[in-house]
Amino acid sequence: MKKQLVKRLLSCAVCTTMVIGMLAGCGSKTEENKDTAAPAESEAPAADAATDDAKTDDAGSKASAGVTLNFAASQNWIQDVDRDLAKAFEEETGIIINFQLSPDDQYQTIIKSKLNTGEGPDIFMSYSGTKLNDFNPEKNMVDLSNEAWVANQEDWAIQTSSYNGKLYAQNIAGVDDTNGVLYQPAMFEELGIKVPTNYAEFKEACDKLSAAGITPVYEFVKDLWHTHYWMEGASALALANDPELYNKLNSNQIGFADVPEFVTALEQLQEMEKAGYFGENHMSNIYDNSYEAMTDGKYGMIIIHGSYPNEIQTQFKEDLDPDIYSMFPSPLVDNQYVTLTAGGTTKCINANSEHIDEAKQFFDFLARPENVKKLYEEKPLYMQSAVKDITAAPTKAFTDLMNICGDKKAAGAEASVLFYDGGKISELCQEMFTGSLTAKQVLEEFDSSRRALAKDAGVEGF
Amino acid sequence: MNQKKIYPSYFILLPLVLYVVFFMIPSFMGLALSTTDWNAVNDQIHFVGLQHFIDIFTNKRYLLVIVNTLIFAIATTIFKNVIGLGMALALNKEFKTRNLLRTIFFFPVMLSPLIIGLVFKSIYNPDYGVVNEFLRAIGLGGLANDWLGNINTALVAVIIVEIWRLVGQNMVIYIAGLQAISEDYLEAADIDGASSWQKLRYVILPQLLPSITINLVLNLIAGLKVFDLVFVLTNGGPARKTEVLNTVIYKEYSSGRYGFSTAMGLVMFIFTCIVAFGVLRAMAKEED
Repeated sequence: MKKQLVKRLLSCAVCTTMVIGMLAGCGSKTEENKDTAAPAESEAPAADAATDDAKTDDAGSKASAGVTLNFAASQNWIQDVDRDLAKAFEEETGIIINFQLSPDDQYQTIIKSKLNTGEGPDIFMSYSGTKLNDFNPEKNMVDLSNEAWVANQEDWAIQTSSYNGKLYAQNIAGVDDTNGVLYQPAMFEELGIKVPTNYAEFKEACDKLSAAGITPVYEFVKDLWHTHYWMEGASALALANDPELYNKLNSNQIGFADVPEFVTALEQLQEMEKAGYFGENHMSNIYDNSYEAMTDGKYGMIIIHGSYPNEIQTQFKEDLDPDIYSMFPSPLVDNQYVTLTAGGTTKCINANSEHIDEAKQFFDFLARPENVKKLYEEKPLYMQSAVKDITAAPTKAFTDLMNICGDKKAAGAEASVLFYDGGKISELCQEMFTGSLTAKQVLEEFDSSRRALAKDAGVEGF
Repeated sequence: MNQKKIYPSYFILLPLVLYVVFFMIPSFMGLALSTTDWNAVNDQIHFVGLQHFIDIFTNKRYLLVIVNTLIFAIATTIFKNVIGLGMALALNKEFKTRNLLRTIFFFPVMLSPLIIGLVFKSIYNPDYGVVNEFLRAIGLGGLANDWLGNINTALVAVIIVEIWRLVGQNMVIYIAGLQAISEDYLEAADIDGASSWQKLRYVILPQLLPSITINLVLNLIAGLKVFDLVFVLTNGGPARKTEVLNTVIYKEYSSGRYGFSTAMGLVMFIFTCIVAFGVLRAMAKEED
């Protein structure tokens, strides 16, 4: 009997220990966070005043020392200079920047999932313009309108990082420019190819490249952020043909499938794929391999951003002369317009972060003139400066493109249409390439998913 | 039976509480939420009834995903079992490198699916991947293919990786089952002049039924719930040819459509239950 009692007591004790252990395990993170967050919160006023007073800056920094800020970005958005600046910030303040990079084709889904589950990083990057809406700014982003560095921002940089009149992102790095078709003039000259000004001439150029054993276009369908550029490239033209285009799309008066320019662009894209202009491996090609493809002479063209030649130089081939490349506008639908991005990539602070003040300190640090200068010098990817008194150095390719287009330029659909999802369009294009969807069906399918999201969001007209 | 040897009924209390709190309540909440338009951008939640389920079962794009998932689950289950059993039979015999080979074949089970995915991405690479290099080296360059980018081979390529990854686990379960078979039966069969095939068919397989059942159920559930391997290797592409239920649930959730993704999750849960219980029932009959 005694033995049984001991057994019972022992089993009760084991169970209780297990429960306590589990609960303690669940709760430990909160406790830990409280420990690190508490000093930061108590020093919050000091951190707020940091921009005005160097002494309080020191006090705030010391209190925040040891804090780690998780910084999420797509893998190609962060380069050596970003890491150097983060390191300098760490040395100065003791606040550690921990970069969390995701593959380019997965970043958007990963970061959205993290934010939606409340596990978002302290700082995350986003495209600007209407793409900021993807991350639900009012819920997930800290209002940065009253930060000291805002005064030094160019107006367009503020406009394209704002939502409902509040600034939600820091665009210190400048506009990521536009997309055009990149090529090597020397290669074209050697093969007697005229720079295309319409789709027919573009096909002619592709045929000549093919005949010379060069795959005409490097297309990387697997990385979903890219293929839709061929369609989006026609959006400035479509807007010129119908100035109310974006308003109509945003109020659901029409869908993408109702815009003839977009339908034609996708039909021609399908034709290009069928003609073999993308080569054999376009379904599994990835962006990272594009640098090699565009430097070793195996491929002739790529639709890409204007800063790309500098990117090849910094990321892949140091001795490359970026000026060997030039650009012309996306030739589908005989387009001669240039489609501008709203402002490239920006940085946002997660509204649910426990280290908002430290993140703001990091933004202040990045906005210092000497750091902005360093960024522009060592990361020559920005075609237009977002910061007053800083001059960007656009590539020759970008300048050539702008010269061709003159004043024929406008913001693209990606930056202007609500719930535009380039990844979705690219994914549907894969199905178009395999013959399971037509160009029109791609856009109808995209419209249907876009309408579902807009309806969920309660956007008027949907 | 000695009633005193049975654990007192209050012992069920703690597991029951944990089960209710961590499984039953979330499941019923999921059921309730799958009938709403709960999403990331709108704070208001509206009841939409069975609309999400109607969308799932009337849209052929989602039906295709269900078909892909079933193909994946069934194909991996069959091959993992057949190959695993073959390996177990081979490695159940006495020979020098037996333990080393068992370890080697079991090794992939211990690796993270993400790491395996990254390794096989390189192996399948159309330009410099081992598979194509090998084919070119033996003069079969014409068969070299964009394994993960070709719509005809992508799903098969992912299935092969999953089989490679988990065949060792099946093998281990079968080895355990084989070792539990009494030598007497096999000796008796030998004396009766049974051939190897007859011994396998009439002695070993019937005795292995519990191992077969557990392998079938585990593999089917793992197959229906696959996510990480597909996510790394193809992310559902090309052209959704490798899209499975879990990748769609993940993508819908990421886009902020919580209600819809919960409904898809529920569909997957019901599928898994039907298949798992179906197999268990069928196998229980066999065992009887």
